[in-house]
Amino acid sequence: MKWKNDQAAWGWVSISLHWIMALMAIGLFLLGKYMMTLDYYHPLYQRLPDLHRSLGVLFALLLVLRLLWRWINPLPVIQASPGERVLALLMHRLFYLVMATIVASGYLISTADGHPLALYGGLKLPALVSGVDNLEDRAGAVHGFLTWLLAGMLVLHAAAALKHQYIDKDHTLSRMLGMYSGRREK
Amino acid sequence: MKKMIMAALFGGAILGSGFAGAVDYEIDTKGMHAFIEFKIRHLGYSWLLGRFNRFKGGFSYDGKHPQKNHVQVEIDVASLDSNHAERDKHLRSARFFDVKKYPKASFLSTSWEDLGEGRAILRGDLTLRGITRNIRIDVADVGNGPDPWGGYRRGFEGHTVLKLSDWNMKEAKVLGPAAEEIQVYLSIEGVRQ
Repeated sequence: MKWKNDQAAWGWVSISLHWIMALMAIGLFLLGKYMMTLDYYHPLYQRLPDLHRSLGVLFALLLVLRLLWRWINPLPVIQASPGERVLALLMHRLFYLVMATIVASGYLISTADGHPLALYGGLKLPALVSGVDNLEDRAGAVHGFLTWLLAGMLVLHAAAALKHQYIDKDHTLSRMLGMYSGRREK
Repeated sequence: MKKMIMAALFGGAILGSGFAGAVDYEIDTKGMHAFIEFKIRHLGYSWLLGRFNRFKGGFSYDGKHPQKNHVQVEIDVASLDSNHAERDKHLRSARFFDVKKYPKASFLSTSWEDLGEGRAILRGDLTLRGITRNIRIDVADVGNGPDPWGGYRRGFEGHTVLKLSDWNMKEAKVLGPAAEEIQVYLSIEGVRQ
């Protein structure tokens, strides 16, 4: 498998980024919802938010990498009708936008007071925006809403992939699994 | 001797200001010479401090008839600030102050009992999370007099202890037995109107 994308297939960098980020997004979602239910005296009350913050920043870095990679790589042909193609492209852009807004709002929750975001390994991400009234609450509302939106989009996205794979039989899913190079054109 | 003169001067100032009857003061929240601070035990090992940054109000002070003194304050609960964004968000949530549902808290005095020597017991209705309870605030006179900018100011400090469970804070229990009560410290400066 090639590491770069071509007209027919995704390269392994794109494929890895896709699946790693998909797993991370689901993990971060479940982690985020679960950690908010913890009791103050729960042993993980501090650890899970620490994990969530560090994973979230890693997710943001991967997202930047992914957008850059997408930018400098050809996009494999979307095997669909013109209408579906537009829809697919819009959906991809919406995914990027929602993911970017989720990480940005998450970062703002933690840094709204002007304190840096503490990460694993003693790393600290400086606070860039502060002094906005109740910024943590506003950012929190956005973060919470968009994570549910992303969860909904993910379900649609998975359903669409399965539909293309098994009903349209256009190898959409195999292509993202790296199992279809596009050489066997029909 | 010096002490006596000072006492006479201060006594005179208090009497002198009382002469005019009830005087209305606006709490100086423009210049922010007023503070509503709280502290609560963290795990029983230390104090956690915070404050409410936005509020407004006033008081009426009658030096001759202190029982006529009254105070009203309105607090923007969402202005809660404990210098930690995530904690503030948590405290504003429905688990504690529920500021979306109850954005304002208010205090309206019901009585002022003068204890002499600049001390008083102020009682009033505190409405917080939609629950109104009569609370007692121990008040001490801090000072009063002309300010350098042509106005006249008067200041008090107050102290009260509130029980979180009285205000139906559902999550208060999880903070543990050391944190069932919250101490509130008030430093209020009024500008004569």
